[in-house]
Amino acid sequence: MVRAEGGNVLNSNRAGARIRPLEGRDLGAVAEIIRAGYGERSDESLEWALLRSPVFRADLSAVAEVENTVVGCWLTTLQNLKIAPGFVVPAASGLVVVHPDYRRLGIGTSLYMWRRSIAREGEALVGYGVAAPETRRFFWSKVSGAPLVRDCGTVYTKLLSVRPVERFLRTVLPDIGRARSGKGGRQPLHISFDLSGIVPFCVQIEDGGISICQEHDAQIHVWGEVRSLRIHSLLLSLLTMRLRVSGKRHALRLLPVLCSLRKHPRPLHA
Amino acid sequence: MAPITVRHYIEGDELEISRIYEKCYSAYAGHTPRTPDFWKWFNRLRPEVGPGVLVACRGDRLVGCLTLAKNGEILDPCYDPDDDGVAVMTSLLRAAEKQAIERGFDRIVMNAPDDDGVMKQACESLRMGRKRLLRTFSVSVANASGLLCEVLARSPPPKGTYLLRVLRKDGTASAFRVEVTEEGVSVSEGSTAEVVLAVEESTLGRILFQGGPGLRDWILGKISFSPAWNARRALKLVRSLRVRSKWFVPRGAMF
Repeated sequence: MVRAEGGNVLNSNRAGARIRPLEGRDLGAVAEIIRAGYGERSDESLEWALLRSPVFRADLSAVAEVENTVVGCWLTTLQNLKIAPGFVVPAASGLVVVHPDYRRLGIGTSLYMWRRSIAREGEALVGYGVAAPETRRFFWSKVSGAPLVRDCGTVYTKLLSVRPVERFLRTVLPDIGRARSGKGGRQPLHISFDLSGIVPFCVQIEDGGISICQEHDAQIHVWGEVRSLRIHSLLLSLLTMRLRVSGKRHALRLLPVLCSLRKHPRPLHA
Repeated sequence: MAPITVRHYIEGDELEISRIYEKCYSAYAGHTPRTPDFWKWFNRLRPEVGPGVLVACRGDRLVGCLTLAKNGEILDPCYDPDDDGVAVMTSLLRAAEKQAIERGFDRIVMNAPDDDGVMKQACESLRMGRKRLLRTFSVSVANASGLLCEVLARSPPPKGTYLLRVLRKDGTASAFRVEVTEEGVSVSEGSTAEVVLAVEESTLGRILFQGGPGLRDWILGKISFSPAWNARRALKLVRSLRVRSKWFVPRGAMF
């Protein structure tokens, strides 16, 4: 339920937030909310995105206020958008951010309804994936009734240093060196990896722990393509011959290392 | 043919770059035009870019460009489709990788449409890993008549008259009379037709952008047609309403 009152728009949401057009004095508060919602961002970067943008429209943006404190915002950029062959419409892309302490109270919905109430004839409203997937699904798909469109993009990535690999392996294989020494005096195991998307690196598993270096002589060489450094992805690549292993007489010693990779909740994507 | 050279951006390049960008991406739904001013703001004035705009030239002619932003993000990669795109992109990505190492970035990341074979080949030649991007957009069009007209003109249903009643959440409805003749398709306001298709706004969105209504929509009565003996034509109208373009929105396009 949206109604206008003295130029402002009130809306029913469980936080009792008032929706009103964005004003110049709100920019500081908006910057804080963006930081609270999406992590640290420099003043310079926010100034670039908001004040210097040729497509940002402050007059079509709004804030949600609870007891004179800004707790959410709807920031609009207005651009022509192609949505079908030969069909380009003016599109208002909305970045909606609600302070983490005020989420799930209907403030995003109120902001959406406000924006929708001022949409012009033939205008498209576009929301990008800017929040947690479940929030996005709820907010856009159920509240707005707008369909979700899947992006056909593919991400190409390459790790240029062994630092992220080292951080990843230290979390998934923290105790492997100590566990090995507990069983008594095995030989060190050196495995070299040359995988797509990652600079070549060598994992050295010794009694004192693990270490990672860029190049080293190794007993086992693993090379080829793999989607991520996880056990199922590695096995799939092995079975489909996209991943090769040499030094197979040491392969059994590789098993505990591979099994450890399944424990990590966030894989390092190759 | 002159060899490809890669250099840094110089003032005025944005005219040619925005032209190449349009050639590269304008076929995709979700495309927003990169005017020279917009390109300059998006790529050159971005605070974290620094010297990261790399331009590929063949002789005097500009044939490709990309921007290396913070954390190794590659923005707006584009190549001239009339040139050897794989060679252009490979040269640009190699230069970007070198610069990323010099600037101390741990990784480079870019996104490209999954059906772009040129980007795929160039990335594979540099041994970049590939991963499907799971990203969604939500789109709603305030007034659908223009869109309906364009979509139906491209894949018209059988000749005749159709009434498309769109029911909104707030209880209001709008009706579009679609007339398909040998001359073409016209959409106007109206109240009578040979086939009447009533559809909720959210279901119409699904038909347009998600390939059709779900079984749930039919069961819950979110879509219905009359008279019953015109089912075949009603279903053909539903099929004609699908927007078949792939959606692609480049990295960093939103704030």
